[in-house]
Amino acid sequence: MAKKVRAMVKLQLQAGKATPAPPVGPALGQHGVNIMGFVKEYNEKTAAQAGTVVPVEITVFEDRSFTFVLKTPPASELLKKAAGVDKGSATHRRTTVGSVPRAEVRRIAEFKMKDLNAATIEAAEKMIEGTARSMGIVVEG
Amino acid sequence: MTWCEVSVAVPVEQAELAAEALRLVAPGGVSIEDPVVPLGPEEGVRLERRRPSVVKAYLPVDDRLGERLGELDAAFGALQLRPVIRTRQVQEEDWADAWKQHFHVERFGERIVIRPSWRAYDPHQGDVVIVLDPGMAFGTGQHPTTRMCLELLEQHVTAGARMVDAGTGSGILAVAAIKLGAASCLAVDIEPQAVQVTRENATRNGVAAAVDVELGSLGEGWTRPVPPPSGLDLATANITAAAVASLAPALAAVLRAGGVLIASGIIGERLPEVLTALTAAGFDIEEVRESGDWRALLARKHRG
Repeated sequence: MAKKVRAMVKLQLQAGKATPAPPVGPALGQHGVNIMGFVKEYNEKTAAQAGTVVPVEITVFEDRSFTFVLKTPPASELLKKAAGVDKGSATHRRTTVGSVPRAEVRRIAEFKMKDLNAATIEAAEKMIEGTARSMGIVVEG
Repeated sequence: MTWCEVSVAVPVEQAELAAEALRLVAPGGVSIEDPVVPLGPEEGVRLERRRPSVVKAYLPVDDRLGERLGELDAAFGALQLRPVIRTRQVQEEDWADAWKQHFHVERFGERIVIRPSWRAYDPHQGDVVIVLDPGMAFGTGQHPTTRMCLELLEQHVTAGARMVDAGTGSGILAVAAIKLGAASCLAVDIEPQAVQVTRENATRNGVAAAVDVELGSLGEGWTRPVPPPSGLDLATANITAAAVASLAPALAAVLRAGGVLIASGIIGERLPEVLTALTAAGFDIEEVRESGDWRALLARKHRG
C-alpha cells in the first residue's frame, strides 16, 4: 500500500546487541514503533557483524508500520581497520596510535559518501580526516 | 533508573562526526534525527539542509556522569566541533511496551472490530472481531485506505464467496473477508515478510484453513492456477495506483463475470489512470470513496 512517511530515525548500535533501552526506546517509542519487533529483526540481521557498530535507518510510516535499512559502518570503524589498530587513542589527539595513507581516506569517503550528508567528496574527505585526527590516527601524504 | 539525555544540534554534514564523539561516551549507541520533510506517498522525504540534525545519546546518571561529560567535551574539541551540549534527565520507562499505547480497539463499518492482541474487548452481538499484532509490515488498520477497504468488504462480501487479495500485507483484508463469510481467499504478496505475517494473522484468528498465502504477484510471471476455473467472486487490491493499474488485466482474468473488485492505496491525483486501466480491462466503476488524499473504489467485471 502506498504510504506516507511519518518520521525517519537513524541509530548507530552495536551489531546483534540492540535492546529497548536508550537510545532505541526513546527514539522509536515516540513514533509508536513496535520496539521488540525492531530489536529482534536488527539483531538477527547484524549478528554476523558482532563487535562492530552497524548504523541503521528506520522509516516509520503514517500507520506506524516501519521498515529499515542497514548503512555503512561509521568512519571510525573503517579507519581502525585501515590503520590496523584495535581502538582509537583514549586521550584523543595527544597520542598517535596509527596511520593511514591519504588514498585510503579518499576510498573511505567514497564508500561512505551516500550516508554522510556531505555535499561534495572533498567535504566527505574532510570529515573522515577529522575523525582520524580525533582518534589519534595520522593521515599520511 | 535515570538517564541523562545528551543532545547536540549540528549542521547535517556534521551529524556523523558528532555521532562519533557521542559514541565514545555512550557505547549503547546514538540516535540521529536529520531535518527531513515527509513528501507524498512513495516519494520518501526531502532533506532540509538549512535546519540542523539532532544527535542524541543517553548516559546513566551515576557518579561517573560528570567525568563522561568532560570526555565528551574533549572528544568534540578533538573533532573541532563546538556544539551547544544540551542535557536533560529521562526516567526509565517500559520502552518495550510503551509504544502499545498508540494502538486501540477500533471499529470499522457496522460490524468489524480490530483488536490489538493485548487489549481487552467485550464483543457486542454481531461483531466480527479480528485480532492483530502490529509488526514491521503494518499498523492495525489505522491507514485510511485499509479503513475504506474494510468498509467496502463488509458491504460486498457474500456468504461462501471465493476471493483473491493481491498485495495482502498483514493479511487484514483476507482475514476480515473470511470472518465476514467468504469461503476461501488466495492471499498473495511480493514481500516474504508479508507472507509470513499473513500466515500468523490467519492462524491467530482461526481462519488459516481458508486462507492460502503465496509469495508472488498475480501479474506477469504468475504460473499457479487461481481456483476455481469459473472465476472468483471477489478481488481486493490495496496496493498503489501503479500496481492496481498494472494488475487490472490479471484481476479481470481471475474474476467471474459480475465479480467485484475493491481497490485502494490510490492517491487522489492518480485516480484517473487507475480508472482508465480498469475500464480498459473490462470493469465498470460503481463507486469511488474518498478519505483525505486517498481513494478507494468498487468495480464490477462486465457481465459477459
